[in-house]
Amino acid sequence: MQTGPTLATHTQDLEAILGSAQPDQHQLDALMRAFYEVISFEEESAPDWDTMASLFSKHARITRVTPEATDHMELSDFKNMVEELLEVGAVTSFFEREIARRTDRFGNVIHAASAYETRVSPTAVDFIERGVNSLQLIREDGSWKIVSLCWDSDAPFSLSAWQSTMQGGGNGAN
Amino acid sequence: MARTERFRFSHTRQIDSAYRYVSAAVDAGVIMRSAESGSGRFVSLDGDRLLNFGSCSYMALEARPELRDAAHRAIDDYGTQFHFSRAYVQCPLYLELEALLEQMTGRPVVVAASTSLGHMAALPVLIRDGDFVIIDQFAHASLHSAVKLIPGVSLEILRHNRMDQLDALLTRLRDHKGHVWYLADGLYSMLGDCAPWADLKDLLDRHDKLRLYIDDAHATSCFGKHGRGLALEHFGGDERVVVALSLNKAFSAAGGVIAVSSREMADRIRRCGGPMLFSGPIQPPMLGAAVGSARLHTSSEFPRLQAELHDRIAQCVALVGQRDLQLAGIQHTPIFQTQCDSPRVVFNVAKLMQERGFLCCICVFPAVPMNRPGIRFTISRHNHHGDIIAFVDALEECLALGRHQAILQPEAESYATVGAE
Repeated sequence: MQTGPTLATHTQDLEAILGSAQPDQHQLDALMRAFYEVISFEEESAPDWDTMASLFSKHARITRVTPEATDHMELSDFKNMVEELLEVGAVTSFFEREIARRTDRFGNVIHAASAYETRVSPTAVDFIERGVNSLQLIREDGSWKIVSLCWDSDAPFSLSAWQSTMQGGGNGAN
Repeated sequence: MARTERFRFSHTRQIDSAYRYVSAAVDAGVIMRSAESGSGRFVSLDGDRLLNFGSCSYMALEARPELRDAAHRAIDDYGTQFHFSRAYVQCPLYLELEALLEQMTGRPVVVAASTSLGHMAALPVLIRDGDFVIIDQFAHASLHSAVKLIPGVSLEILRHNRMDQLDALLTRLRDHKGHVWYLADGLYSMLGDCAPWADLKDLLDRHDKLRLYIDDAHATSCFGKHGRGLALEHFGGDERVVVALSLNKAFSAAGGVIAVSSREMADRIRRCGGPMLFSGPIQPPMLGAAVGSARLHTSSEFPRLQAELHDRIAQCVALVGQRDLQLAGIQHTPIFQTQCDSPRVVFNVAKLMQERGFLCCICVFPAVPMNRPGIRFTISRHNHHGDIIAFVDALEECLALGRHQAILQPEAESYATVGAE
């Protein structure tokens, strides 16, 4: 669980930032940074579930597509899945970060296609896998919240090819 | 620790995803390969004669005359098969083998056709109604499989070697009516680390309901008096500890051994442990080899052979300690694992090592966690001192080169097609 000063400061600021009705680049960056920070965790630890819940709408759905099946989850199901993976030792730590993003806003709805990569550690020179998290954000109770997270864990993905298709709404990750 | 709600992947989905991950390694040409010759110091693969750093025959006994001659004699006496169910009539070599193994372990023993079948026979007999089972998450797959055979068993999976969590669970279960079994490996086959013996001793001292069942397959022969392994070396006199040994691997024969604390317990497993009744026996050639190996283990020569292995392990430990090999942890065991940044790097390194004339093994999910891909190598008496120096030199070079290659490798390009639509 990453509870160091950076995240603590960041998450304290997050509520104020996301409370604004007009999301700007800074607000979206803060939300996405917090999202990747809370799902990442060191050995002997686990995701920061409380902070993660604060980023999601209580109506949020999480959908994971794999070659074998599709998981349709609420946040509590996602927590149970991660805890199962931790218990059986399928993963013992997890580091994921954003490497590129394209966004569209339609009033009180934002769609963010967030390219990610996972690594065995923050300092690893190679990544384990890359893909795209598809997130929908809505205004809820005065804040921007994630209402849907969806990704295909096994989709072939080329960052350079994806970036070459970006037009207008695309923007690089921080 | 305990959870009321669980997310369970279906059985078929687990099989299908395992097939996908294993197939990736098969397609990369780094597992499930067929040798062309050799299984000692050298092994031939793809036309390459490779120095062998992937063997489980740590003691290098498989070609010794004591084992070969005993196997030949067994064929001469009984043929290639002793054609009875062991429930009816067993080959007389079993009696000779069990007597030697009892001398080796200092305990009553049950011999099974494999260690996995030994677990399947012993655990449902040992673990009674009302007992609670705790199993290390990295305990051998055969232990996880065997414990699932016990109907209705209360089961908790423990994070690897987390004795603080085990202590907390035992404290929570203090008033539990039955025994609390902790199932673990003595020497873990992927990471090369050991069960925390001192901590387990402390827990046995403080929790009277605790029982241990240790799979010591990879420590058999390499460690302890007469090669009885690490668990019996630490807990040989403790009747609360049951130990499984392997007659494969460093023992260089076939079969598994359950070393128990009483003749009555051995009889119960022999008489009602499922595979002891319905599974086939060890056939005469390998029974003969096992008898020959057991005689060697109890001979005055065996400590010298063990010392030769440990001399090589010490040499390797000293060498890897001087290098940047990102080892999972250095313990004085024949198993080493270097951690890599990705399966891509692992596959690159394995292939580069083969190009330089060395065989080592990959370890990727599901054999290890997704975030711990690595190269596993082993030290055996087959390895000459010069071989070990050359291997460590090559590994350091190939790890750096394999990382560099992975960075330069092109990404999957499929997205370009999808994105253009």
